[in-house]
Amino acid sequence: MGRRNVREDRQSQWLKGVLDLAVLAALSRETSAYGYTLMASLADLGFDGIKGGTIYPLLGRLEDDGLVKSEWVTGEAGPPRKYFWLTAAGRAELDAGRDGWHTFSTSMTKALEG
Amino acid sequence: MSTSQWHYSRALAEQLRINGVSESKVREIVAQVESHVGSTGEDPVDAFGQPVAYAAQWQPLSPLWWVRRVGVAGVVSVGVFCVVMAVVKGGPWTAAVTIDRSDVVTLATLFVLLAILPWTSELWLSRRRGANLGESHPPSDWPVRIASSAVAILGVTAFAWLSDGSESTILQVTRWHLVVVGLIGMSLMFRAPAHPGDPARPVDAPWAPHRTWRTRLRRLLP
Repeated sequence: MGRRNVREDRQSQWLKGVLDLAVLAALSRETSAYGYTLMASLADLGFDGIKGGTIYPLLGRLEDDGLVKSEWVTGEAGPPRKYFWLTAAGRAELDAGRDGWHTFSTSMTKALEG
Repeated sequence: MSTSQWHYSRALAEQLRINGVSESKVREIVAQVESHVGSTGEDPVDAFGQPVAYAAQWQPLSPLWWVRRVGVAGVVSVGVFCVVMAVVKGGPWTAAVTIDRSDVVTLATLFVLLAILPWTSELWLSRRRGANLGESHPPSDWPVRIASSAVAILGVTAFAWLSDGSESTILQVTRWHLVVVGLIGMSLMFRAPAHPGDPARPVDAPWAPHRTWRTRLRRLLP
């Protein structure tokens, strides 16, 4: 495996560990969103290249855990869309995740920069 | 090569059912894929990966689940065997029907046809199709079908040869008992999870109102 591949693999591993928090945060900003707008919102923040095959199963797991709720909305224009929004448990999870990330990133920055 | 949404939906629904995902969840997942592809115009394989891989993201196929399904199909084949024996052997309903070793060949044949072949070679072919969707030259199913049928025929023939001439009684049971046990075994067909070769796209959309059996029946009547 080349050095470039190792770097890309490391970034995908980091993202895998925090993507649920990024999705919860995006949902808290958007109030409610469907899969494609969530992906666009994450891409605007630099998380581009996230596919539908990653985001929808993640949303399904978050819904199973009671962190988000969803509803199908049928409109006159475009296909029916499933909108997601945060629950109270989801907000609490996001707050806890933010605290955990700050602690972790501070420690990691110290470890890297001395 | 691009993949049509319809083909992708069918293949994905099939793989989700094989993995044991409930039908209501299958409807949700397929509808989400169709909604995403309808909104973005993306190729479904590019957006979600091959149906086998995407279905595994929701629920991978567990060996225990597979064993359970083979077991259920085995019970169904025993049910069919009992009904066939009750019909073929005839006689009064209260008379005892003798099941001897040669009848076990019939049971073995039913077991191979209803349980072993569907859940081995057919399952493997279905997963291969669901992992190569959109390819311009997909591998042919026929060599595997012919080879697995040949192995099954050889196996049953060998079993028949081993029990040839032996008509020693294994069991004596009244005819009506056979029918009751057979019908109970066969009824599992309606409760059993979908056959591996079930690529039907879900009919009902998840946002549609729930249709009860009464409303379904009423629609069928003039």
